[in-house]
Amino acid sequence: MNSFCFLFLLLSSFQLWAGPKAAVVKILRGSAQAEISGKIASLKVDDWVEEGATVKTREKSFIKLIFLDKSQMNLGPNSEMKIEKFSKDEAGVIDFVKGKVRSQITKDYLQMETNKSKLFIKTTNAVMGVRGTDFMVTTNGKNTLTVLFEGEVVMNTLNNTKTVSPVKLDEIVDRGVRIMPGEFSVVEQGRSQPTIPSVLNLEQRDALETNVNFESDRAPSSEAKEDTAKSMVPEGLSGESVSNNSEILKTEIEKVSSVEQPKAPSTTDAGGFVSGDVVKPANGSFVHLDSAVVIPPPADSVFDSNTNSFIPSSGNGKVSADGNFVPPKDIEITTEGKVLMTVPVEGGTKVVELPKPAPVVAPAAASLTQVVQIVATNPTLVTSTGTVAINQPPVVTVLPPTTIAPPPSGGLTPIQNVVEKVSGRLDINVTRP
Amino acid sequence: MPRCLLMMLFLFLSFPILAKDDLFKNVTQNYSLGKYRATVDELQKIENTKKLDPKSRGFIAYWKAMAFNRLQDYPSAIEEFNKAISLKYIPQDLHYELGQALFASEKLLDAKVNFSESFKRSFKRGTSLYYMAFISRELGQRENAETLFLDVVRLEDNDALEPRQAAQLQLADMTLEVVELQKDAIRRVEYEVLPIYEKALKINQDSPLAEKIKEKIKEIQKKYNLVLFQLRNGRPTQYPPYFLRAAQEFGLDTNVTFAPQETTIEKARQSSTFSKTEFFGRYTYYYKDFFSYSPEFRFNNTYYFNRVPEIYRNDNLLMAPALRLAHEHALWGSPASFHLDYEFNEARRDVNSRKRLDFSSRSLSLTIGEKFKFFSFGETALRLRERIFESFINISDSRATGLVMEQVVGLAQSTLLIYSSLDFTRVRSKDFDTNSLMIRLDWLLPKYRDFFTPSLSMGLTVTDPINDREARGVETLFNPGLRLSRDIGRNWKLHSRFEHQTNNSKDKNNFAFRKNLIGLELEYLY
Repeated sequence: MNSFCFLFLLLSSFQLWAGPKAAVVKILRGSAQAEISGKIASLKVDDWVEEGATVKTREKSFIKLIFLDKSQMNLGPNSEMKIEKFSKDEAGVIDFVKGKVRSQITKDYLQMETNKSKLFIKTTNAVMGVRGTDFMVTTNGKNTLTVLFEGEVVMNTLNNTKTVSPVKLDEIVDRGVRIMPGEFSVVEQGRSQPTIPSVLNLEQRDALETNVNFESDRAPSSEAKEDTAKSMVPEGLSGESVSNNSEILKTEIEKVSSVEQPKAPSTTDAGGFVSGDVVKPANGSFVHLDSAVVIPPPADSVFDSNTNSFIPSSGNGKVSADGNFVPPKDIEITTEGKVLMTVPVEGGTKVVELPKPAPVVAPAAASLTQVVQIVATNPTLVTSTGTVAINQPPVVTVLPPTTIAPPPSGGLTPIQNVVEKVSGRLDINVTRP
Repeated sequence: MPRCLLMMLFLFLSFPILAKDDLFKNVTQNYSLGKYRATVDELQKIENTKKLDPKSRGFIAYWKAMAFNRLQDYPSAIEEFNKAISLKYIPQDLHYELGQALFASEKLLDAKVNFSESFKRSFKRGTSLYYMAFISRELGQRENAETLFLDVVRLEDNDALEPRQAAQLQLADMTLEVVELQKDAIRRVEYEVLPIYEKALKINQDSPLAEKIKEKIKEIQKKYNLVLFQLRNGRPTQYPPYFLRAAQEFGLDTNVTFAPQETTIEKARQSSTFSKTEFFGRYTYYYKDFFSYSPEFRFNNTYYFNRVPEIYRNDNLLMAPALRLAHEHALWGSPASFHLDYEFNEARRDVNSRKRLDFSSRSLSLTIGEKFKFFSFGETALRLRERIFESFINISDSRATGLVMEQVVGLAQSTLLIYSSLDFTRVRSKDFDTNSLMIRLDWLLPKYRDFFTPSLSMGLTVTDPINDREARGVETLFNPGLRLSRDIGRNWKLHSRFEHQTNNSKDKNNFAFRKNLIGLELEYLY
């Protein structure tokens, strides 16, 4: 029986080598398979994968592929991608179905113009044009997240996933957003455009940048933050107000170093905003990698003007050493992007769904930890449908109109109306509702 | 001598830190990119491998501490800041950053000392002082906290707007804490605490904190029943439910006119100063969240100082009770209300010039109307009014039907009120029947330089004496006016007004007139 299996696999593998070669397996952890024309073969180190093949990894598995141009593509656990096109003549096209992929593309690939994409990565709703070197993409089949560590990536929504022409794809990404190193952008299902690129939480970026091989059992880097529950922002002030702009340190650095200090990216709207379909997450937000849900820094986060981003207090969770977002106790975020909370009820616990946090730093917003406390002490907030009716912060602050409403009473003469307005009766109605 | 040699050797071996070189290239790049862990590691490497003078070691300790603060590793940050201080490397912002690390580590006393030092060094004065005040409050040093918060509020630094507002909010919270324990808490919350919150709000109405303050005000009003409730269509209930007004006006009327009935006029052709006293009161009751009824009473007395019969026959006393009912509902997705108003009015005048106020007229009006928001710029009211008028002269009794439209137009900085009414008045003596159209615009302007609030008005009344058209023609009355108002105390206001009236009529002797009115009014509102 074993011999039969071996023979079958050998024959299948042979099929993989029949077409034009695209990449070779350099590292394999766990198990991965390649599928082409309905035939499946398990992959092992030094196997070649040809154009048109779909590569899948299993849970806790990882595969590193080296492409013809020496570019690397690391496919994380539970991931799937199809090499649609990869030739020496034109830009490659990768159809990324689900999971996580880390790409390190060589700078001189195809020796193309610098403003042209060298590789396209498509998901079910987004397309990335790769013009640089080091980035990560995750997708759950509905939402797509791109994090850039080095170089340049442009991203846009993709309506027709069957588009494979690099020329057309280039046209699409040219209209998209340009992500700079240290930034991320999300294409959410149902939104017509990607989020405006924002600075990723510094700790998460560091962890992800070094975790090239999707290792999940890395030792924690620091315990210090865990012990610090209190924010350095006192109640009443904002993180921006208490922030030290670090100009003094910069001046001191200039005295000893001639190295030019690079400017922080995303220089505007650090706190983020939502205006219709246009979303700019707060700088310093965490991202839940499996679902691409953006977790903003809590209201009491201090602002770091050096990087133009917020350094989150512990209220909305933290980052594990492998770069994954770890929500606060009793909160869980599913791959589909649902924010769930375990609520204590009589005789056990109950799982309820929380509204997804708006991706902005909102002064009135409760952090996830505070939400847990609020719901735990107010079980009535849990509705019969299993959701939590808790007020979320206003996404866009709409200031109340400054116009004066008509007087409450009717039937007065206009002169009396005016007297009432001018004499302040109306002021009472306006300012003291 | 050996000590001298040792010192020279040390100096020789020490790294010349202040010279520009690339030793810090990696550190600088990592720091600028926010790679604070790598920054610390690189600095540690330099510290371990190079011999440095104390100043350089101080600089490295300071830099490391700054990176640790951003990594939220506060114990390490405190250690490095203290190391920099011991090495006498103390940049202007060091105590501020150290204070923050100590604050986050709950070492509040030490934090306060460092913020005090930061304030002395004029680094982020507003925030440093606020931290000190906030820490005092956390430590239970109430008086000290109050003093420090007040100091923050009084700061005039350009960058202290947010700390000033937050400090005023803290003062309000602290006052609330005390007042809530008192017996007359409700009254004191209303008159002492809420004004402090409103003061905090006024510092910056557009700040994120302003939203919190507004929420807090609403919460307090709800807790102490200072707001009754919100009506089902979203319109808030009247707060407070009562309204009282007392006003005294002194003025000059350049041509006192006598109107014994609604559609006629007699001119004195003389001017007179006058005094006008008015009291007005109303209370609004609510039934559930959709119905309100408001009884009201108006009393008005006018006295002319020119004591010639043609003038003092205009002395009058007016009493006008009314009951207003409103049913709240929604129309086109906005709050709307149906109104039913029942108004009574009795006037006494010196109609016989006997220096005695006798019955002059009474009227009874019933008005139904709907107030709604059709236009985005303001509410509209449409009303139908029926009025029965009885005069001391029987032939002047009348009945009038009127259609009224009011429109509010909210402009960027001001408000325009448009009023129009079409009245059909039928008098017992048919000669005096009229149809009239009145249009009036009132433009309420914003406060001018915090000094007074102006409003301009223009009225036009077109009167058609349908059975006396040949003698009077179609009459027009122009009535422009200017009113300036100024707050002069918590409940006091001062108004000055100027009005002009020109009535054009074919019957120049009896009906055409011109007059000017100027007045100064002191008003008390409660």
